[in-house]
Amino acid sequence: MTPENARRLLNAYVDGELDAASTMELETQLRESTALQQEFERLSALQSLVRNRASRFDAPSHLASRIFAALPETKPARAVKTVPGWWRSLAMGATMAAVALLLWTIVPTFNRLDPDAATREEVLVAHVRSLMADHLTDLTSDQRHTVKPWLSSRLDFAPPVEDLAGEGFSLVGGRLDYLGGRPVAALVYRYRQHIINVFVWPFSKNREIPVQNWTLRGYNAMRFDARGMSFWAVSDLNSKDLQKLAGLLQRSSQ
Amino acid sequence: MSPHMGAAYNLARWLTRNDHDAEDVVQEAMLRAFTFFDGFRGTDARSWILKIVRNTCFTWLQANRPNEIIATDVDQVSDISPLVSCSSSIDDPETVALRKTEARQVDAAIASMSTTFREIIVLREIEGLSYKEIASVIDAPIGTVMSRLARARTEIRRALARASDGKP
Repeated sequence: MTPENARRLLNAYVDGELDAASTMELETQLRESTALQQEFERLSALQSLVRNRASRFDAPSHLASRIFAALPETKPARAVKTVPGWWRSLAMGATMAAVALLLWTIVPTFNRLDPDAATREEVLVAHVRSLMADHLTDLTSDQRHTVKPWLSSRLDFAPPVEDLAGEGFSLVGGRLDYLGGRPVAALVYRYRQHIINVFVWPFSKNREIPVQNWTLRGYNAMRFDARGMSFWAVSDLNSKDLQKLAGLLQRSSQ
Repeated sequence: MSPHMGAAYNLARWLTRNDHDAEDVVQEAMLRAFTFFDGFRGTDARSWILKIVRNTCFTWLQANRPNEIIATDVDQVSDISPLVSCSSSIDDPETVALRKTEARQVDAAIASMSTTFREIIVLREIEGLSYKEIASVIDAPIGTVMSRLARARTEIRRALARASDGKP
């Protein structure tokens, strides 16, 4: 392996993007070479530093309305001149509708035949609303021993609350929410810049469902059942890291 | 607003390195996205939007700051200095101050890189895109993503080493 190639593979390895065969080959080399091992540690430290410290710039709140305002002017002027006024306003309405479609419902993976489809929709809406309404948590604390009793005392069940900060998923707090006609616990985790809502309630079906993943309007979501509870997580986090969280929650629930 | 608006703005802000220009670019990109929406057939809307934002950024930079667009070839890199490690998550004032210094140095290191490397770091480390998604955004093979990412991390490490050496 050339040094250049080793470096490429090491980066992919740190990113969890290396295929199984190359991973085995690289791990053998890592065991044999102290220099490569040190390089791996430096690379991991660098990745964690950049991920945790680099700024993510938020779009200013006026930008969305500014874009909406600019839209009608993008219609070709020649075409507009030849059509009557009522048609023009109709076309503009259609433009706005199409943009709303573009911005909100871009990924139509919604499966109406799925009995969970309504819950999937509800969970996503609850997630988006928690971010929009500036009401992410009722109780802000990274201490599971504070969050758990707070939620348990307000619900008719005790949701499992885990401290996963060591794995990069820091607990932000807890919130009460209302889904599928019942009060549920919403646990809020943060992974890098991404907020994850994990909704928990006692499951009503007879058998536990293994992990399921899906994408709805650009958000990644997943669900699984463990220890008598249904876990539904949704975030703009990539599905790989979200699945990592699912694995951690599942493991600690056992 | 759109779930991808945040990612779109962040990428534009990092590539233009300026609030005002980032807003202009995102607006233009969103209008373009709307125009070409009929052509969208995929399932990965985020990559699709980011690709448009990225292309809009480069067109804008070409027109306004052509000297910032420098095609950079990946070459062999040696002499890598050790790296400052990430400070712990304890919240005492000293740690908070150190964390702020680290954040400033990391931001400065990313900003100092050429657009080719800057975009790949922003997409991977800040937006958390997979290699496949990055390949689709920058319209390059995954092998190129791997090489550029490796090179970009080396550049950041050098910039950080310079920053900590330069401190009094």
